[in-house]
Amino acid sequence: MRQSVGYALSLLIGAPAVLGAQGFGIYELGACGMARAGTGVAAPCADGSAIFFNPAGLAGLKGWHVSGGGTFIKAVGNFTSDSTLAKTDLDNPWIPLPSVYIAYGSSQKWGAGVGVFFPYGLETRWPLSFDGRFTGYDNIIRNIYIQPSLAYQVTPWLSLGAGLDIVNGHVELNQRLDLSQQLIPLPGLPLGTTFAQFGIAPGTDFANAHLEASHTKVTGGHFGAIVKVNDRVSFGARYLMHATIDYAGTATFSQVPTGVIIPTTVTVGTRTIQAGTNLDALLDTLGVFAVLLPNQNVTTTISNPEQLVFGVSYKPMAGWTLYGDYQLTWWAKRFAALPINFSNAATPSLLLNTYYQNASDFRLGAEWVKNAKLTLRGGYLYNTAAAPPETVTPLLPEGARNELTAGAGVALSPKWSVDFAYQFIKQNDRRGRTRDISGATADQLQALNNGLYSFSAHLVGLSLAYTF
Amino acid sequence: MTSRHVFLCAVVGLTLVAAGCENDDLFTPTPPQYAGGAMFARYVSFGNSITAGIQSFGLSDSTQRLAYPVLLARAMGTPFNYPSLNNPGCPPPITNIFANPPTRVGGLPDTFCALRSANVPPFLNNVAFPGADVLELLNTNYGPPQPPAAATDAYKLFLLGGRTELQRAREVLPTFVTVWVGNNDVSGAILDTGDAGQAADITPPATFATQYNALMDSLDSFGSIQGGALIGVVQVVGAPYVSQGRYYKAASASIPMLTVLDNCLDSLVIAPGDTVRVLVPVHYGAPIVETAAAGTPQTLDCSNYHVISVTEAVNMITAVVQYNATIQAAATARNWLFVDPNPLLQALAATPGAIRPFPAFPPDPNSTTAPFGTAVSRDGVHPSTSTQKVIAQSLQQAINAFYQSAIPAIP
Repeated sequence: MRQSVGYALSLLIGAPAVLGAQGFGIYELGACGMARAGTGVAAPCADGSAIFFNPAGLAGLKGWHVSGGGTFIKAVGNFTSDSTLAKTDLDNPWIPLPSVYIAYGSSQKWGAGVGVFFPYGLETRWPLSFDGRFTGYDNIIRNIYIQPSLAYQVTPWLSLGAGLDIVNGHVELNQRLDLSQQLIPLPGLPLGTTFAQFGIAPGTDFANAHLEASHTKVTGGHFGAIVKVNDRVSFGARYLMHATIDYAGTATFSQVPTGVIIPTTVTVGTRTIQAGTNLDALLDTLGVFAVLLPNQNVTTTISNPEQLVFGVSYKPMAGWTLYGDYQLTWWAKRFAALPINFSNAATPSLLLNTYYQNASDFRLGAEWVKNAKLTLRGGYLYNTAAAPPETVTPLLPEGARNELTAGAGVALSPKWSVDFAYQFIKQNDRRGRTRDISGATADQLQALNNGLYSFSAHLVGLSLAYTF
Repeated sequence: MTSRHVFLCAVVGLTLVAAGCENDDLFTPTPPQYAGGAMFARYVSFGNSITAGIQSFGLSDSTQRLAYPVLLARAMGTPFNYPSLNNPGCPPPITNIFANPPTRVGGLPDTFCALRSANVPPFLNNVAFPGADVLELLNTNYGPPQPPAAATDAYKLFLLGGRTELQRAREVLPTFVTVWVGNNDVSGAILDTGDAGQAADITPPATFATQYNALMDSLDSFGSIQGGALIGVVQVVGAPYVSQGRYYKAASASIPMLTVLDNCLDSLVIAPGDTVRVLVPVHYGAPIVETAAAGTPQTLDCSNYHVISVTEAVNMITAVVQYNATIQAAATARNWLFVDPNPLLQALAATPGAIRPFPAFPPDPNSTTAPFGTAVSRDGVHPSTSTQKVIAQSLQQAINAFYQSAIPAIP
């Protein structure tokens, strides 16, 4: 029973996944739209998902439209090290990504609704044997958007819509700390002397850091418009405002045994360490955990960028509709750096420069209404990379992608319908890195690139809609 | 309609496949492109002080970069990281071994260590550390049984971070290895300032065989090694750190205050043209010579426990022969290359001035430039820069001949 409750909760708050859309954006927010490659800003699906795909699409609905479902995402990928050619596989499970829409059309002109969806988020899990564990081995950004929306048909050819976005953001970062990179907390040493200079090998785990923070706020709005040129052609546009969320939470540090025994008596600064000393005990006595890495508060700020989407729909013949969308996402403006600020003064705060660049999505979709019971859909889309060459990291080894989609809508009864979708994503192989340096320049970061990331993903979507 | 569907799918599908293809050019570096070069994509050198690059009882980046594996890797065209120690070293190399205590670069003491370079490579290819014997390569985290503590134990920390050579090497998944260990299983007998030549300083050959084979089993377990070169143990009695007693006898003719007893002429013919003689370590002989040269009467008695007797020397020679039989068998069992370094060193010994049979004591100007000859550094044990190069060249040729590879020559 408890397991069932847990599973149900996981469906409701399920974590978004890597490889949804560009950056840590996600576009698979309804099986109908997903099956046609996310197109539909000019003619959203009639299942209430217009709340996300274009709020103006709520105008003209009649009665209640309730839909719920989810997309299950399985990202498959690996990192191949330049040095050893060893491959490390991503460890992501199938991840559920739910969405729920409730819409109501009170008249020919007015429509309203509320949606719960995840347009931004990521999850990447790597095994602890991966060198990228020092950047992050289990990383989650989860943004739940709750968007009450209203639409109005200004004229028979123009509809406008808008929504208010209430965002619950949650971030988690789990990483190992590498002793070789730590400064030695002893007097009498030259400034900046690290354990590596006493020979400690890179990749010597000595601590685990778990950072978890969240915040809920009203972040802005979502606006849309649809222009119906005639019965065959429509144009649409939508604009989702950026959402800047100041996260606050806790940082928990725990010791990881190094297993290293000091093999010789050595003088470090003002202190003599005897041969046979257990390094882990030594770190304790040096106050590494009590002074430098106590459990403490942590804050960070992450902005979800604004999205602008233009699209067209065209009905070339009876039963057929073709769609084309273009999306611009302002990553460069909103995700140039990831600050991590610790409350303890002795714990160095971090500034992870990301230098993201604006990204474009090109989407093509098609829909064929075979009969009153069956609708077939398909599509293709291409994303440019939001991550620049210097920011392809274990947190999000993102890159340009080609994606194919297919799906169907089945009317089960006059009131019930179900939509299925499948999407295959192939990301172009991309050079990237496993390590990060706080405050580094783009050139410094790109010089860290030490291998190749390869990714693909399978997504399965299912939505159930009820109209009354 | 159907044909249009097919066309659309084909176009989209081809676009997807074309854009999604893996791109080998995304990898750097590429494996060496000469014949057989793929075997050398990741080279790791195991060993001790010679492999680490010690010269004149000092180790610094200036000497490390001249070590034979570094030269060999450069010729191979393969990435090669060594644990760089800042200059002037850890400790700095000796500049005059006959001073008391010996002087070092920068006038620094033998306890000085300039620490590792702040530029730490992610992996080490040269995992050798000075003082390593076979057991120390084998043990995990230096658990017991361990040899007695030695000054070189510091290198276990400064070079390997408290890990073993095997542990550090495994991180690299080497495709090719050189292994030159075993010298320290016998060299302690010539360097022992308490009782040179004693059997306790020599790893029994049976023990050596067990440990060496265990080491090789560990290497086999890597699963990545395509080939290797196992280098035999040097006959350390040939190191100029020890001089035959007869040379002291000869020197006494020109040093009036020096008396050398006749027991320093003891010898044993073990094969035609191969005679084993009494050996005097420089740490014992040098102060006697210097004191006598300064006018204080001194007597060198080769029955003293500081002197290596003929019997002890024979024991050392025999041990090395047995060690090398073990190493050669291990190489043969894996179809790897075995390299015996002794012919090379014998050739050097035959070269005038390369290896001095008797050190150049002060005030001879050679006492500070090359007291033991040009082939040996100022400590009388470790190869000089030129000999490191000769070793690298010799290995390059032997590897090419054995593996039919085309590693470029080392200029």
